[in-house]
Amino acid sequence: MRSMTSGEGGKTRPPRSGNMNKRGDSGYARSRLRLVVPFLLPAFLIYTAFSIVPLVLTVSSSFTNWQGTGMDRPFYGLRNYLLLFMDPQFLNAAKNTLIFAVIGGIMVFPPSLFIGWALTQNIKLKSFYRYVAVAPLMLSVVVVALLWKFLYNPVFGPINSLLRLVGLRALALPWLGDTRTTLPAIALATAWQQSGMWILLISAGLQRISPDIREAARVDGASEWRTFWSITMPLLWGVLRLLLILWIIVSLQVFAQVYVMVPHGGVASSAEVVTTLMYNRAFQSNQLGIATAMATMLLLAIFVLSLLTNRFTKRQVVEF
Amino acid sequence: MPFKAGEPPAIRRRRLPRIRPGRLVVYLLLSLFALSAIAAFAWVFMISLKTTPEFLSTSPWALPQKLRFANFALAWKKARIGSYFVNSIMASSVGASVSIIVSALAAYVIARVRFRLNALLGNFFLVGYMIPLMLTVIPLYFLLAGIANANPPLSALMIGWGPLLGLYVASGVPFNTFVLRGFFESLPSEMEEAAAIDGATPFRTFWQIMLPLVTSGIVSTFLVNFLSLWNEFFLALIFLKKENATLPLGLFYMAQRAEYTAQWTDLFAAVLITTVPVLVVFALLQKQVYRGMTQGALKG
Repeated sequence: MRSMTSGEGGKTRPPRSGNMNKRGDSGYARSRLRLVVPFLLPAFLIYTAFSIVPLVLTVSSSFTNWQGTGMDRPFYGLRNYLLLFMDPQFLNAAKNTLIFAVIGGIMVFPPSLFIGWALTQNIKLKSFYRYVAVAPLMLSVVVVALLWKFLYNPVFGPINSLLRLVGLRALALPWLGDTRTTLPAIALATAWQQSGMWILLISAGLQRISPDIREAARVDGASEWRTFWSITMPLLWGVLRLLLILWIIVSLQVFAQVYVMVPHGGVASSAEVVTTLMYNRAFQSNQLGIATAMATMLLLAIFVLSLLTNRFTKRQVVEF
Repeated sequence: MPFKAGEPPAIRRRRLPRIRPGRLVVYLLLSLFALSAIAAFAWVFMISLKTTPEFLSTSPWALPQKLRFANFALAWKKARIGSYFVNSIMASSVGASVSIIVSALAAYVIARVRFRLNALLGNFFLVGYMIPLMLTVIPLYFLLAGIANANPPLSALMIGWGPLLGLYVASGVPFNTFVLRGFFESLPSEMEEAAAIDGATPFRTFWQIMLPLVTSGIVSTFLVNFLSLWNEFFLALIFLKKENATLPLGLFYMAQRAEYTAQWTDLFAAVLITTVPVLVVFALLQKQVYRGMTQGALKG
């Protein structure tokens, strides 16, 4: 891979005399074992303290009635979970989160597939288009949320003024102030940003498919459309599965977009999602038990859904 | 030769295979997509040049009366975007560098030294991919705040930048160890043997021979780490106070204020101050960023 590797390796490789080499090897292997602890310890400690400990704290707190003061966590059994299933606010938030994931997924998939594919074609200004397509991914979610909040603004937003300009006054809705449009509007902003990841990975995945395969199909008389659906798509399936799982992980824990675009979960909680409700329960009403139970359920949902997606999409992968 | 009037166009169409309607549609859609994104930013820039009364009284499409960059100065100084900017640079560079250093050490040992727990530790660090810190961090905050309350001298360590940086470092570990492990695994073992026979200590072998060979991997993982920390919002929201926010957090508070004061124009300027450096860095280092992002996902 790297030319330097083989060059230096070739130059410094010593003449091999079996006996000495063996002795040197084992001594060296033993001396390298001394690296294990000091090299692993920093990563292990930081990762344990700031990734594993929070997980343990979250799951364990979900069985308590912790109010957030001190470490006084009275055991509460499964009551937090039972309460959640009877809590209309939580059920609404869970429903909204699922709707958000589905709508956003539908919004992100077809355009990304198209642009990702187009970027592997022989077109002009390719690197410019790729830059514009991936750039949203480089922006903070806060910037993206604010940008779209401006765009949707009913008074000065360009979307509505454009709609009014072309005579579609009836369509100039208060996008973030209407219970029917809030969630899709936020999903569109999120899909726009996430499409950067999709486009990047789809075009990278397409580039790894040998052009010979497609050429062979074309020689056999398959149309471009047919080649795409029968040859390219099955070969791309591995990448699409991965993106689907990434989308599940990203969309189910959507927070900043909602929190920045619509304060208090939107009109009539129409855009309240599990994470925003969790944040409120923890910081506004100090119900750490309920908040961590929500977090645990969401973790479980993400885990199970990713696993199921992984399982049910596996057999269709074509090796190449 | 000509038999029918209808034939020449058919032939001509066959002679010019370049102009296919499919290709035109591709260009049209791509340009529309690119133009809308550029138009959105051009619009933000236009508004950032207006005064508040001008913004409120004119159409959103009207050009600014003159080029005045007062909003940028206002956002930088008065809205403290300047100090948030410095905070963000510090947090992202410290978080990303420390994370890369500890991950590179761990990845090297996992990839190249055979000991009993190799596979187990490799998987242990990978588990982090499946645990979104966002969902698990709240109890940690309350625990640390409780400790700080009980022991005031410890409070500087327990709240604010300390735990935030710890979380930033930890959040990069799964991705970094995974990618760097792949890089270290791809190096031939002859190099280490040769260095050992030449008398280099294991640490020197790592530091002077193996580490320089994975520089490209380190650069691209650093970029991915830096960008994701530069944009991070939720952890900063929990751990930082308004006065020493990072850029995304400061921007959020500024936007909250604008809801009441209607000072929108300097908010638009602040959005650009936050965005433009990232877009420039990304433009300059596109290749490394693409590589960094596809490495984690596609292994290759």
